[in-house]
Order: sequence, then structure tokens, then C-alpha cells
Amino acid sequence: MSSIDQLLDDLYNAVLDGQRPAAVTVVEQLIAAGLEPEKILYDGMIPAMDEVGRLFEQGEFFVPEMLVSANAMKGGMDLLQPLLELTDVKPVAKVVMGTVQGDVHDIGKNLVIMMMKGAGFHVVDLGVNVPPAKFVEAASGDVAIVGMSALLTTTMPNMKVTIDALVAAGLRDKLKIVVGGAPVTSDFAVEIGADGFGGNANQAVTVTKALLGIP
Amino acid sequence: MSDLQVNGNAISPRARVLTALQHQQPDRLPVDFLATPEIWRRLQEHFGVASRPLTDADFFDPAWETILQRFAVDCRLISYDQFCRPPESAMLPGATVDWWNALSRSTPNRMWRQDLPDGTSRDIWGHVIRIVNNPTGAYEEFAVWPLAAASSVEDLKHHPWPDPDWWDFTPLRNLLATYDAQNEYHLRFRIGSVFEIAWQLRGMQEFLMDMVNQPEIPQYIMERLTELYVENTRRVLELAGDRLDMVYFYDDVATQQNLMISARMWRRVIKPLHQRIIDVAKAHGVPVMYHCDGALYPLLPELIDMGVDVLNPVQADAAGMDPQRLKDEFGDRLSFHGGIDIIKTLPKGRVADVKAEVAERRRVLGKNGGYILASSHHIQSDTPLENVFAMYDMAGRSQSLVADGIAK
Repeated sequence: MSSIDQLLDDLYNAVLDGQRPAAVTVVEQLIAAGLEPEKILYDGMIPAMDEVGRLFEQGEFFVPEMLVSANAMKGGMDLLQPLLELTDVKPVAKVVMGTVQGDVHDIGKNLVIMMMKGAGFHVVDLGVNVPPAKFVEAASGDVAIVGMSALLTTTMPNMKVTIDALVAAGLRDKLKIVVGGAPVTSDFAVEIGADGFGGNANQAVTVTKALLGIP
Repeated sequence: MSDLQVNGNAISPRARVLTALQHQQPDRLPVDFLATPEIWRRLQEHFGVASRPLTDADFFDPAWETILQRFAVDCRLISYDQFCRPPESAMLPGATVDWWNALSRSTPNRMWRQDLPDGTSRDIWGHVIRIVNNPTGAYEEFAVWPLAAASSVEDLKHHPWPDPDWWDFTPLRNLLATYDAQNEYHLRFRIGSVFEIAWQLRGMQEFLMDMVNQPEIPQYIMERLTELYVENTRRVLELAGDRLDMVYFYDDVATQQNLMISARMWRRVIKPLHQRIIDVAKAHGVPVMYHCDGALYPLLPELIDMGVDVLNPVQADAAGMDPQRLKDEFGDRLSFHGGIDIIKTLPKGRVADVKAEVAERRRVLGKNGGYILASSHHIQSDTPLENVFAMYDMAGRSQSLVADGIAK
């Protein structure tokens, strides 16, 4: 194994084990060794986050393990992001995400965002209590996915209101819409005209990739 | 069963619940009631029950108590936070004490807050709370995480932690003598949560990451909380253990699909603290009810071994929480409280759907007792009142028992 391969292996393990300081150190070493930033991302960190998602789905990892892995990746990304911006490397796709109007619950949404970033998506976090107009404003341009979260039955209808607003703004056809949150079901997603439903953070990523035809 | 009978032949609500919890078929299904303030107020309007001004001397809102009586609710709650009076030193500049307006208040019980000039509130724990409106009501959110910046146990010690002496339970006996003079209702003493209140002080993401990377931080916070609950519960049971039928605590450690943390981590970190709370109740011979939303199935055998007698709320739509399965596997050792779905059935269902779900829960969970009917969380503000009436319809609690051949 070359020293680069060894370092990529170390990076994979540091992210998988949620060791942020170790991940940062290895990314520094890889940059110093001259490896392209996109290779550090696509050959080191994203495969680790894929494995995190797989272990979560299998019930071996739980939310804390997922969080520390995402946090370790973020440590590496803070170094890589400025370098990636100097190159022509495009993110997998651009996503805007928020908790719908009237609802201030953000734990689930934040987990989804971490896993989306872990899969290489560029995510714009609109925060909580997001009015439909703010989704519309953020969804113009090259945005491919709108993600909406709700924890309350009383705020779930605002997902439909937001979709209606995206339709009225003429943006609906160029977008895929994914919804999630504890009371949200796949039936509800179909009923309000969303394209996909994520039952947990990993499924949100899987569904989004499927909708965009990303392997 | 003669010791459970009062007023001649009529069985009291308390006796009804106790019978069910002894896994015997009571005369009819016992019920409990929890709702958001919007629902309580709409019920007050509906029944023409006016609120009178409430004072510092009140521990319960009598208008809401009247609603419980209208629905012939069998259970009543005494909550630790009704008796908390933080010292002057815990009050912030310009703060006023409020007992009645907390949106998370779901029972007639008062709940302490200090309201600040900037529109936020602080609870006993120092959570910073603000209000966000939604289409049919409002909800509270935590505006900041007071312990977010702590990087060591030493930092955590500087938080204004509540002290057991902030609590004065001396009014409790007299209060029970007036609130439930006939010893009529099933009374449970409610205390707080360990994991939940702890992460609400630190921020959930930080807290969960700490559990992996610096476990001494969550451990310290949760131990502080546990010590307080244990001491509160001990004092209350010494004072009025003969009048209190159950100790109740809550802690959400599951999501809709699975546990939030691994069973391994739960065993290491949370289980020993929960055990200490349960042990205090058991030392006084008092049963325990535990609330956890979501997919708790993997922990149920251990919770039963720990001494949990009643599980709330039974969310049938969460993974592994099918009522039939729960009753079949654990029904001889565990009773259930809750079960009526607040996500679909109550807000979106028709009256017939609500009645059908009540009948189904009674048939499955209520077989041979072991079940108190209630909503799977506070009834939410988007629920039509006719569905609430359907849920508490007296016919649904008794008549079909005859039809099912379960009762005589």
C-alpha cells in the first residue's frame, strides 16, 4: 500500500470512528502530499460516510455515532472546502433544506443535512420556522432538491403550502421535493405531491440519490 | 376486591385503575387525559366552564379539573414542579413568576416559570424558552442551550443547578385532602427526565457527541438531575406515600424507527440512573410508570426487570410497537397507558375511526386489565373536539366489553 493509500485508509477510519482531530490531521497530511482535494473527498471521506449510513441502517450505529462521524468529516471539509472552490469540482447537487413554518424542531433536519453533506451534496440550511416564500427564494437557481421537515401534525400541512408556492413560482418541475419528520409518512408524501420520503437521515440520502439518478 | 369498593357497590376511579393494574378486568376501561392548552380552552368553551383568576395559592386550575370530571377521567397527577419555589437568587432581573401559562402544561397542574422582559421564559432548570405560533396553536422552543459552551465538568458546576431545598412539599398532604378528599382518584407523582432535560440544557447534537467523545459531561449533567429526582421522590413518598399510587417519570430514548442510542450505550449510561429512580419508588412499595415515545421494543424486557410496571404511551405506528405483540409478549408483567394515535386518528380521523381505535385498543391491550386508555401524547391543537368526545364516550369504555363477552 502506498503512503497515500495508507493515509486515505486512515482518513476513512478516522471519519468512521468519529475522530475529528485525527481526520483533520490526515487531511492536512494528504494535502501536503499533493493529493487532489476531490480525491480526498471522494476516495476518503464520502466512502466512510456511506459506511456510516450502512451501519446506521443495519442498527449497528445510532444517532451519536452518526453525529461524531459527520463532525469528523466536517473537520476535514473545513480544510478542503477552500481548495475545492479553487477547482472546477462541482458538488454532487445543490439542496435547500428547512423545517416548515410554525415548526421549530431542527434535530432531525440537522441530522439529514449532515448525512447529505457526508454524501457530497452542497446543502443550504434555511433553519426552522421557514415560510414558503423563503423556500421559493432559496430554490431558484441551480437547486436540485428541496427538503422539508416537520415534527408536528399541526405544521405538516405547511409542507403542502410550500409545495403549492413552488408550483406557483414555476419552480416545481425543475426540482425534486423530499419530506421527513416523525409524523410524516410515505403516504403523506404522496398525498401532498412530494417526490420522496426519508424515514431517517440515511434514507433521506438514499431517496435523494435515487431521485437524481446518482448511484 | 371489597377493599377497593367505595360508596356501596360503585367502584371508584382509583379502584378501577388499581384493578386494571393488577391485570384484572375492571368494571369499565379506565381513562386518562392529556392535552395541549388550546384543547383545554376549547373544551372550557364547549362545556361553559369559566376560568377564575388563579393565584399563588392554587396548585390546580379548577376549570381544567372540571373538564376531567366531565370526561370521568380516572387518573390524577401530582407533579414535582408544582412544589418548586426557586429562591430569589435564581430570579433574573425584571423577571416575574408565572404558574399557569406554560404551553407544555397538559394537565390542571401549575408549572413554574419566570418570564423575562425580553419575552423569553426560564424554567426550573434554566432552559431559555420562547414561543412560536403555528396554524392552530403555538409551541415552545429552546432559544439557547445554557450549557452549550461548557468544555469540562468544572464548567458545568457553575450552572445554577436547582437544589432539593428549592422544593417545599409540606402543602402536599393538605392539598390531597381537598383535591381528592374521598381518596377517589388514582394519583401518580410525576418527576422529570434524565436524558431529555440533560440534552435540552446542552443541545442535542453536542450532548449525543459528548456521549461518544467526552462522556463525563453528559454523565455529570444526568447525575445532577437524577440526584434531585431521587431526593424529591424520597421526600414526597415519605410524606404522602400512603396516598400516592404510582411514581411516573419520562425519558425519550427512541425514534419512530429505532432506539436513539444503542442498547449498549443505554445500559452503560442511562439505565443505572433510571434504576435509582425506580428503586426509590419500590422502596416505598409504589409502582412505576415510564414514558418513552417511539420504538422502545428492544429495551422492554430490561425495563420490566428494572421494575417498570406501566409503559406510556404505546405508539402503535412506531417500529416494533404493535399493541398485539406488546400484549402477547409482555402483557402479564407490564400494563399500558396511552395508545390512541395523535398523529392520524385523533386529528385526521372521523368519529367512527376514533371509536374503532378505542374498541381495538380495549380489545387488545385491555384484555384482562392492564390498560389505561389515553392519547399517545398530548391531544394536539388540530384535533376536532368531536373526536375527543368520541374517544371519551362512555359507551366505548364499557358496553362493548359486554358485546365482546369479556365482562358479565
